[in-house]
Order: sequence, then structure tokens, then C-alpha cells
Amino acid sequence: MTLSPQSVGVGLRHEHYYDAIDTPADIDFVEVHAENLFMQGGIVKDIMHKARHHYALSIHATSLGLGSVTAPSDHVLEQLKQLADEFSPELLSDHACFNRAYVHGKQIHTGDLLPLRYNTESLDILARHVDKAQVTLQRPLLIENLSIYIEQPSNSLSEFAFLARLSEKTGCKLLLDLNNILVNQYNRFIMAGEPFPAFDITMALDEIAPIKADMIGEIHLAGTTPAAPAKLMIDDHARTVSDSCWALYQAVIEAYGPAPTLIEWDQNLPAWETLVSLAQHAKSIQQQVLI
Amino acid sequence: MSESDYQQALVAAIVSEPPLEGGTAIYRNNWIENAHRALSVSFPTVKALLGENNFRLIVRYACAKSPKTEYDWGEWALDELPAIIEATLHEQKLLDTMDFVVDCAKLDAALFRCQRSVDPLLDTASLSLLEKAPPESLRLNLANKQSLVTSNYPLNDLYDFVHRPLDESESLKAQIQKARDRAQLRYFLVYRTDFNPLIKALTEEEAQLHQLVVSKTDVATLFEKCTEMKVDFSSWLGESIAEKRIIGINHIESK
Repeated sequence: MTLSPQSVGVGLRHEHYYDAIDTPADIDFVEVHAENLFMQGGIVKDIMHKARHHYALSIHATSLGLGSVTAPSDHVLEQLKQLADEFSPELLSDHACFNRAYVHGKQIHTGDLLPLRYNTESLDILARHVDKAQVTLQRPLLIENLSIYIEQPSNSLSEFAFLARLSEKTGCKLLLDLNNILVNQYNRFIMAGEPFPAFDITMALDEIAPIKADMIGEIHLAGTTPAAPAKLMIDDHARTVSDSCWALYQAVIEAYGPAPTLIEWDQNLPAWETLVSLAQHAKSIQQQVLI
Repeated sequence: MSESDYQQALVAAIVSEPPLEGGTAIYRNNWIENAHRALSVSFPTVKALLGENNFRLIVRYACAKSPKTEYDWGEWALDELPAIIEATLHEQKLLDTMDFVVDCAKLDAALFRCQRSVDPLLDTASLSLLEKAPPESLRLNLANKQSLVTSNYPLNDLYDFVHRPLDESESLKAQIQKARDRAQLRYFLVYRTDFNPLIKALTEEEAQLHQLVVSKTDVATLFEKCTEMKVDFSSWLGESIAEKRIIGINHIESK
């Protein structure tokens, strides 16, 4: 089953497991983190099978670190494949990042989404590992753009030129996280020691210009806690979707057309109904644009 | 700088000791906070017993001494944390008064593994083998990820005190003192009948029987051992099956 471009969903976190299955909401899909289902049995898997009766499913992985120089292990890819075979998700995604490296002869996994440099070497590494993952998983992957907290002076490609080439090389689609684009826009000013004027939707659209409409497989919308003066903004998914993010969403849909859209909220979670209403707001924006 | 050098340098900075600034400090903080979140889920009893500040200290020790080397945070430090807690308490000269925390860490790890294991499913058809085949040719199948935890402390009472307190007026200190006063070697089996892992205090005889089943001892020998220990084999087996600790019977494969 594939999701229609007009689908909307919410991130399903454990605080809302029973809400989601006891009072099924008028949304199209839910997203769960793959690593929260990396167990062999137990109640979470049971709940997820029940949720599957009501919603289409997006499995969002955070641990593959496909841009790491060392290839992802066969074991973790097989684990993800078993999960995908068990739940048959409509969408399966991870990030354009690395997460591990050898330090003093031992491979350390940071468990984080660390930024790649955007150049041909890192593109080749990421493309090779996305290929390997897609072959093992026997499914296409969506790859998400990151929020970034360090400067990358040696980039030879822009972020979205890099991602567009990744999509062309591997056939993977992109998970366009609009909040990450805004966080990066903010942080670039802070890292340059300049005051941040205001979010610039045109600048954000210019950034993603290298990608084509058919590369976008999903969109994430989120909000973050405002940064303290002169401090970096952290993509904490702890607030409602910001006005700037909604504005960018509308602009992206106008420019590229709709794609399955997810409300991502991971900390200080609101009531289930609030999340659902945000997803429905996303749908109303789609409808306004499409009319 | 090659991509390999860049990645190695960033990871090394994140996991090293010196203070960091700017964006790299955010990645360091993410690393510690993710570790804290993971161990809070897998070691909830330890966290409750130590309190937030001491638990954070343990998380930092765990990050330094046993950094994550696999993909899943859920699997991280399950084997290592009890020893890390023991070493830390020893270093802080607290081991004599807080050694029960080490045993609680072993209990937490056993509960967490059991909770994530394959759901126990009774193979009822196999039970009829007991009537059809000679007992020396049969062995009992244990449900996955059961663990026997030994301790001088009543870990089940400590666990209940932390997670299901009946008497809110009793202090943890009093509860621990009561446990110390009753110090003796005890056996606790961690198992599941449904989704939630359970803790069952076993007698020494039941613990021995469990270990014999773990070592795939044949049914005839188990029966003899029960007779020797004055344990009713039928009752023991019936209860073990009813609680899905034993989920089937198999022929022993001939060598």
C-alpha cells in the first residue's frame, strides 16, 4: 500500500499508545521510531500491531548512520528488515548523517545524528550505504535532512545539491524536514556571530531548489524551543509547529505539490487530540493550496 | 582532511573528557542525555534507589568506561552497568552500605531483557510427550530470557518498595535496614506469563531445578532430583507450565 501525497500523520510516542488505539483519530498514518521496536516481543509490539489496524505506518530509523565511513552492519540491517517485514510500513526512513567512528581502535556509536560534510567523498559513502540498505531491506528508503550545530567550511556542495545527487544516484526519496531547514537558517547566523533578522521563507525555498518534486517522499513539520540570545537553536521537537514552519510548508506545497506530512513532537508532549488537530491543520493547508 | 579523519575527530571530541563549546558541546550533551534516557528505561530501580544526581554520575561513568559500541541504545550497558556501579560505589567508599544496588542492577537488566524477549507461547501439543516417550529421552523447554538472580537481599521487596509502595510512610533507609537484618542467600527468577516481567522468589531446591532445566537435563534426572530434594515433581512441573516458565517438551537430540 502506498500513501497518497495528501496523507497526514503524527509521531506516535509511548505516552499516546493507548490514545491512538482506543480512540482512533482521523489521520492517515503514524510514525514510530524503529529502535523502539527493536525487541523480539512485548507489549509495545502488540500495541503497534493494534495501531496498524487503524493507521498506515511510517517507520523512522535513527541509528543506521548511513554516512559513517564504516558500512552499517548486516545485523542491524537485517533487524530493520525483519521489523519492516513484520509491519509492512508504507514509509521507511533514516537520516543523512553519520553516528560512529573508530576512536583508539574501538568503534564508538554516539547514538546521535552527526552532520556529514557535503562533498563527493561523503556523497559516495552515503550513496553506497543507502544502496546496501535498500538492497537488504528490499524497500526504498527516505533520507532526511539534518539540523546542524557545527560549521562545515569545507563543503563543496550545498546540502540540497548533495541530497538531490544522493536521490539521483540511489533512487531513494527525501524526507524533507522543514523545521531543520529553519533551525539551520537561524544557526548559520549565530555561528557567524551575526544577529538573526527573521526567518526568510524565500531563502529556505532557494536552499531546497536543487531538489525535484518527485524526490520528496515525506515532509516533517515541528517546532523548537526558542534559543537564548546568541545561542544555537536546538531542534528539540518540544513545541508546537512554529508559524514560520507552517509558512514554509505552504510555500513548499505551492512549489512542489503535497507529500505525506507528519507532525513531529517528541518532548513535552501535548494531548493526543492536539497532535491530531495539527495534522488536520496540515491537511487544510494542502486543500487551500490545491483548490 | 578525509571524511574518515573528520568523522573520527568529531566522535573523539564528543566522547572525550575536556569541556567543549558551541555546537560540539550540543553533541556531547546529546550523547550524555541519550545515555541517561536509555539507562533510565533499562535500570529504573537503580535510578530510584540512587536518586537523580547519583544516577547521572553513574551514567557519566558508564559513558566513559563502557561507551556504546552497538546500534541500539536499548542494548547498551546491560551487562556492564552492575560492575560499573560496584566499582563506583567502591571508589566512593559506599559499597558496604549500598551493595544491594549492584544486585538491583542485575535484577533491572534481567527484567529489561525479559520484557523485550519473544512472547512466551505454550506448545501444549508437546506436553503429551510425557505420556508417550521415556523420560530420559525428553527435556523441558524454558521460555526465552528467563534469568535467575541471586542476592543476599530481598530484591522482590525492594523492587516493590520502589515501584509499587504499599506503605508510603516507610522510608527506603528502614526498608534497606530490614533487608540487611534478614540477609541470606536468596534466589529470584525473572520470567513472563504475559507482557510484564515478573519476579518470583525461589527456594534453593527450585533454583537448582531451574538450573538443571537450563542445562537441558533430561526429565528422568529431573524427576530423580525432585525425589532426592523432597519436591513434588508434578506440582513443580504443573506450576512451571501454568506460569509459562516451561513452554514445551522436546526429544533430546541423539548425539
